[in-house]
Amino acid sequence: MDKSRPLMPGLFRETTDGPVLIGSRCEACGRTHFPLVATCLDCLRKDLKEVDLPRRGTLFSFTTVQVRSSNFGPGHTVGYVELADGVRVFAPLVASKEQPPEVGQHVRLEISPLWRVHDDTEVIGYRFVPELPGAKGEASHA
Amino acid sequence: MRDVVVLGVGQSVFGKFPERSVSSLGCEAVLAALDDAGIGPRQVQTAYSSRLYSDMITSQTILKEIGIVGIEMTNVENACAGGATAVRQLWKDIAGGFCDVGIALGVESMTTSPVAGKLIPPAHDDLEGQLGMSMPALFALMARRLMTTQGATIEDFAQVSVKAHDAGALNPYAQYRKRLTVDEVVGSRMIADPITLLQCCPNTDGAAAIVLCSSEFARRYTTKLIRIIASSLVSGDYLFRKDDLTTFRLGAAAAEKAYEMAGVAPRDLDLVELHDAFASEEIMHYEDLSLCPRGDGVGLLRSGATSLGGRIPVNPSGGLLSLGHPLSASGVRNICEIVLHLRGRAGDRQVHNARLGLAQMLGGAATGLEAGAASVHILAA
Ligand SMILES: [Zn+2]
Repeated sequence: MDKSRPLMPGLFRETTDGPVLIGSRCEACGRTHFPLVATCLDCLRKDLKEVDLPRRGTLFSFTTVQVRSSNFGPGHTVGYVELADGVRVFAPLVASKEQPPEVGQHVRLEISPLWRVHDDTEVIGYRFVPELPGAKGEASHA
Repeated sequence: MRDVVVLGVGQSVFGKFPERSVSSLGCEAVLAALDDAGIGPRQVQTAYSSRLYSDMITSQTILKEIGIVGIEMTNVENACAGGATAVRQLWKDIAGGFCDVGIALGVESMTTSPVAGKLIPPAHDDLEGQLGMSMPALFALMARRLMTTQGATIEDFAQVSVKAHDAGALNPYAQYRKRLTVDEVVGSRMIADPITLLQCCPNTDGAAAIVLCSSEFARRYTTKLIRIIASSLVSGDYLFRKDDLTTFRLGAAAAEKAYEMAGVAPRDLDLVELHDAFASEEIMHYEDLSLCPRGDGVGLLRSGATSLGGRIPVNPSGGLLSLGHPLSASGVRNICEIVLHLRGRAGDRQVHNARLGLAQMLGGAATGLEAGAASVHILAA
């Protein structure tokens, strides 16, 4: 069996409804942070609660990078996704010629192996995939 | 605080010189600046050097080659704003009376750096850096928002590059002294859509240096005093404080501080030099520097006001786009460019009757921050 490890501990988890990113909600000011914080970066109070972030959001901006970057070869797409609770997350995007990304497009979180490191360990991280047109109704309970 | 005067400016050639050492590039710039100032190496009381990649004691290793040793030397790093940061630290030392004359140097050998031939990433363990964030990606994501919210087009971005190269063609120090057309820029290889290759600054080797002193010291050497009347440096705010990606809050804050310190308004400026590592960002900087109302950056570009000969020429040097971008050197180099114009010695690219100029630099990326640092200097003849 292939070895694998999460990109960093505490970024995401599986739930019965699917994978989610884990954030910190500040009970004092209401701001939600991702990734987890020990102190609210906005109001500096420590009254924080670990919360599952919404699985779905809309694409705020995107680009397909045609040059090799740290862990991805040419032709990888990245973007900012605005989750349903307003938190903006930078992440890799799954895109194709048939389904080119578009600002405002509905996307859904996916946990997936993203790259391999030198000893062949798979690094598991998060990315967003376009919502299939038929799955739109599902988005309402995200 | 005391007045701070620019006594001398100098730079090395900019280009790709894998065979040249950081020391030789740095010495070329320092010797040019000392010669321009009319002072000798032994008169230098303090030195600040900036370099991002990537060795210890940059000041010492360069200045020892030309007889400057045994003084206070400080080495700073602030991504692309590093050179401007070095100038600011020296400015504070002189304004505060800690020394009378010193040198600030920015130097980079990109061709021999660990990022040679690669996209410039955030720190190696940065979360978003591992997920594919890089400088071109960040600026592409911002450019997309300019297109979505302000109707900017890829042709607008290309026009920034065309404008830069029109000016750079007149600058003997430019890495690329070649004019371009909008079609050539748009049609060049895609790097990170909407950013094509000719909307990106090249990675460059080079150095720039500036000699600053008190006005008392300066009067022994010159009667024509160019003063740095404002200097500001602001670190990046949290990204979550930003509604959109079409502004740099830290850049706007640095500009506001500098205008207040100088007691001048944006409309008083005769020229501006700014960080145009990617063509699209120039449009955002117009707004952050209040060269036009918020939301009118594209309009200002299209009006031609920021071209050479326009109301407020931006990057008359040719900018990073045509000069090349030795990261830490650029923030020193663009202050030196303002000095040349204020002296009336900028050659074919001279902005006529320039009396007041502004130099801006911006740099760095990290998860959760909008950028690393922004610095603004305002100079007056
Ligand atoms: Zn809070």
